[in-house]
Amino acid sequence: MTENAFDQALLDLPDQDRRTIRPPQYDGATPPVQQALAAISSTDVMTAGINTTPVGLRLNPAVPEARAAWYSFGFLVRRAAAVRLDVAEDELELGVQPVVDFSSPFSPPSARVFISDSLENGAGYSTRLGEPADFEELLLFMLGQLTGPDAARSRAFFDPFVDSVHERECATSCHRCLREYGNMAYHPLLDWRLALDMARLALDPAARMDLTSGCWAPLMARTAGPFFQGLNLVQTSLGGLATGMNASTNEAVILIHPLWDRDPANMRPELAAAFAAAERKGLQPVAYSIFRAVRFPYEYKVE
Amino acid sequence: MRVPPAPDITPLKQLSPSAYEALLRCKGRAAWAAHGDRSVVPQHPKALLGTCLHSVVEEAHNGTLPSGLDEQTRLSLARQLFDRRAQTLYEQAHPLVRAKFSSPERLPYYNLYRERAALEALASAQRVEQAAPAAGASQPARFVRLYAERRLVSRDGLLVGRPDLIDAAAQEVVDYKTGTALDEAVDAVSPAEARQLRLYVHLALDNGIPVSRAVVARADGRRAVIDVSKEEADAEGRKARGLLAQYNAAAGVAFNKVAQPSPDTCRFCPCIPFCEIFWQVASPSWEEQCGVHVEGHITAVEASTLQGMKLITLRVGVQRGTLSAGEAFVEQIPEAWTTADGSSPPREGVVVRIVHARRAGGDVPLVIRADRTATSVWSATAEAQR
Repeated sequence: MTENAFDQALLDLPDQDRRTIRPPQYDGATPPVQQALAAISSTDVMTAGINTTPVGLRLNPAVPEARAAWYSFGFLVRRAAAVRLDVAEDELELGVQPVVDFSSPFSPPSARVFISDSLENGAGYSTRLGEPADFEELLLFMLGQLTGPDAARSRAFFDPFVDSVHERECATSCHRCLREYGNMAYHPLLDWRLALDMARLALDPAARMDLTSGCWAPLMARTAGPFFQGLNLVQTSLGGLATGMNASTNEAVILIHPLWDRDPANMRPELAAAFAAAERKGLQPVAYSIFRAVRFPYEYKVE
Repeated sequence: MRVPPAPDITPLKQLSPSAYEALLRCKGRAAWAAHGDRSVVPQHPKALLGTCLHSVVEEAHNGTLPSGLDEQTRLSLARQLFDRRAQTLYEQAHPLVRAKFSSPERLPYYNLYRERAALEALASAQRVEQAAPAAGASQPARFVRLYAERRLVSRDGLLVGRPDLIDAAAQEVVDYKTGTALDEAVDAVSPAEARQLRLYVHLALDNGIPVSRAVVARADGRRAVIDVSKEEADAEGRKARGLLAQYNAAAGVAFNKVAQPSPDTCRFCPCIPFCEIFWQVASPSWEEQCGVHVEGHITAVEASTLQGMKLITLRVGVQRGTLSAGEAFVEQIPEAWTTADGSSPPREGVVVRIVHARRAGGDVPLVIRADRTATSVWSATAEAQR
């Protein structure tokens, strides 16, 4: 064990416990050995990503909203695949892998989901799902857009997500949509609206991504007013986006779609319009995603 | 890409404010500003977007956003003007710019500049409308109030400039600045901006347009104003003429003899790829101010393909530049960046210049990475043999 590893392990303990631990005696004569731990198994695997991130979107999994989008998308894919293949969800395992766009060094990474068969040596599910035509059908199935013999099943899969009762009662995710025992660790991240957006984006890079359409508009209508009110901000509109003005700090808090990039170098036209309008009024623009507004309604600062 | 030739030092008949500013720093940079071939060195994306912003504002001054339309329609028209100009500039841009960014919209800050341009154009159009005479009224030339992008030449013909806007009624000259990052302190006029503004005031007064005030109009809507007296403006004019005479006295001398490299002068300088004297005098103490620029022999090239993208990592024996001599690894550069001008990819034994790059980590091993907006890689074998 190295001193570095010991110090790192100490960080897992509360302060008062740390003080009670005596540091180990190191054997200075033995050089440290670097090892990696891995569990390696042989199975089938498929990966799916978004080839080209549209201008103004941010799919960097280091960002909570984008990480949520990837996992939500992945779990929705897994559920849809289980329904289509008529297998249990736990027969498929899911992960998210960050990937770098090497065509543009220093641009933020993106990610892709991978689905593997739980069964040792594979059961063939992922191989089948990984066929481009099959995967496209799966995406259409998830969005209730599949035609042909499976059209009714596709609607039956999709409709409960956008059903008005579910839409109204579920601002993030619940056991009627994405949550289940097997993805418990991800429950706070999961968001069914983001999952559907990612599916639409996977099918069409020009898919509309904003808060005025589809399932976001009613959530936005319910959230913006109370959010601004709770923070004592005066609600207005900048560049067509709902904005809360903080008279004491001169900040303009702009509510944005979770996948919109806040980086001025890569803004969507709508957000750029709101930023430029705020600048013109001498205000300090602050972009805050609806994803955060429903989870952390009493703050608007993002590191 | 091959290192382009340095421009010749040929006499300048007239000095513009941008060439004047370059001349204050370095005669070589002034030669580049005055008559360098801009097509051989990649433009900074922000410079392209700044040109678009100026074009849109100029169009607004010239009445391209008709007053009968509502505000949203006029903003939309301004955005279209911006898009068209950006598309044209993108098509004409250095091939490395196009290799890095697959469309104009992918240039960093595109949408923010576009919106700022639209709002500035709208404000400019409204200013023009307010200055316009009432319908049917005749307007004698002496009562013209606004001069947009008018080329002004000093009475002796030595100084020339094209101020963005002169409002004779308000007695002010306005210069639009695209600005850079959002958090930069831009509430005041910088010394370089003040020099440019004084020169504009001098040119206006020389052309009989009464001006006593100069305004820097930032793209984010902020304004910075300075008063400029006739004495101050004339003094700037005299200084510019003096520098022009000095420059012309050096005509015919080689670029490398007149260039005046220093850590401050060479910061953001586009001439670094071909400025041999820079490579002769630059030292590691320049890095903090001037950035990362290295020249050396390639000792190994490692090619790889990741996610369909051909990448090369160069092992370089650094000999000159702003990092210490020794072995450096220039990591994972897209091969297309090195061949954008049609030349072959870098190979072992070739001398390369890597400019406007970034250092990753400490000194050992020395790792250099590309910056997606600024970095370029040049093959300089012939230059190094000179």
